[in-house]
Amino acid sequence: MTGFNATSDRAATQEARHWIARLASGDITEPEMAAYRHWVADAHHHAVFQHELKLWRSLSVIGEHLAPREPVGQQAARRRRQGLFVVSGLAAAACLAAFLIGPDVWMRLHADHRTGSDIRAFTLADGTQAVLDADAAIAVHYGAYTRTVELLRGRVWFDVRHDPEHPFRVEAAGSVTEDIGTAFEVDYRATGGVETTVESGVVRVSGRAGGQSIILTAGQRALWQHTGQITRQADVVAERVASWRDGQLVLTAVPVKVVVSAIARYRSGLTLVVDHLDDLPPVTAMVDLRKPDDALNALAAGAHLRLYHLPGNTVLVRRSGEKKT
Amino acid sequence: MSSNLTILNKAFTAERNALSRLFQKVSRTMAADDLLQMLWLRIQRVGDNPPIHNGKAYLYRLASNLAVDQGRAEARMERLQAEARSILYGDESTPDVEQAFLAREELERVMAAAERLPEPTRTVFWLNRMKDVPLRDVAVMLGVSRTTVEKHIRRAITLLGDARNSHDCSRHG
Repeated sequence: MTGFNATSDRAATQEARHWIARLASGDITEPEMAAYRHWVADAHHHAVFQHELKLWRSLSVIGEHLAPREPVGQQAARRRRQGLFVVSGLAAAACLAAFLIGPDVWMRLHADHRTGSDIRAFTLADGTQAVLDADAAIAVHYGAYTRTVELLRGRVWFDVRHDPEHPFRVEAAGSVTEDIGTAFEVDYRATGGVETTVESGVVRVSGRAGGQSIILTAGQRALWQHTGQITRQADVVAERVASWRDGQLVLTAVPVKVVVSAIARYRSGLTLVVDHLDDLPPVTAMVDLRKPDDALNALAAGAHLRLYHLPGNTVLVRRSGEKKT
Repeated sequence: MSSNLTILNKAFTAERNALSRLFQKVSRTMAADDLLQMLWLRIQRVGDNPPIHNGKAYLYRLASNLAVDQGRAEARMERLQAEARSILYGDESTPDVEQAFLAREELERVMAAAERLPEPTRTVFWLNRMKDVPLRDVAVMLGVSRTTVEKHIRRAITLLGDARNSHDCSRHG
């Protein structure tokens, strides 16, 4: 693949870019894929494509230079024609607790780092980065031979300072996630399970009591449950691990109830769901976590909910009882 | 004359709600209403020969065929998207393109161009490239048409790509 000037062939360059856009669109068709394969079989096309692909791949390192300067929700509101939220076809079961309760006293006494309704980054004593999602808490126990972080609740993303002499472990409920040089997220769920997702490197997930253990690499995910059982979950795109870190949450075909509890975590007041929301159609949305109240309003408008504002920044969420009554 | 059609349309009207509930579980990308619409279209194509006796049974057979077809189409679609993804980002089986990243000065030109990307091109491109959101969902989130979204993606790729390829970096501003 040497000796060609990528800029000299404008037509092939534009074609290569066309194919990259189509491959990334999420809806490329079979005839298009066949046309792409035919096009790229040509050695010159292949070289031009690889040249353009290199740029596409490199963009992951300059992500912050591309980030929107104003919240996506506001842009949409300005430009809105059909509403922010759209109905799509999934009827998934949601099983999150409907009542989201404020921080309790026990947590306050035990946690070394905790968050209320905001996302915060902490640097631990060894230089390890920990980003706590809203309503999360950790306790740090660094000893002579080990570095153990106890996840008391919520989810945290770690970028671990590598130190083979002092293994880094995250304990949550009875599960242990052990770093082998890596960035990963641990999510201690309201349901009692603990989910570990690896962004880069390798970790081992096991029970504190021993038994089964699983090794995970980039993009892989496992769920630990009370029974001590650890199961692999569907892989995720490594770049999207802990995507809540930059304050933008992408939700695709998610049950309304789950969206409400996701937003509630970032509100400073209490959010109470007082109706049954299970049969509402799922929503697709981009939520700006820095403006949770706006997000909740947009959700209410798009998903047939009604919000009642009570003193103390408390919001009651009900269905807006229209439709086939 | 078209008595089959009459029978099926009647059955469709009677079973509409039940079918809608059934369809809610079928597809991950299509709403139950869209599937009902497709079912209705299929009914309109049913001929009169042979005559249908049990309209409800026939209707459910049509519905189940539709569900199976839809499931296959989605499985094909998923395989296709997985293939597209592995072309774009590589996977374990394809050791990376020669040194995945750009040279320092190329990257700097691209970063400068990224900073200059105008809205809404910037947000559209960021959602698709950084947040991995399919274009149809980007369109929904921003309340613009699918065509508009695609236009912005092309524009972003072209602006960034041209910035990278331009060796004369003094000419912008």
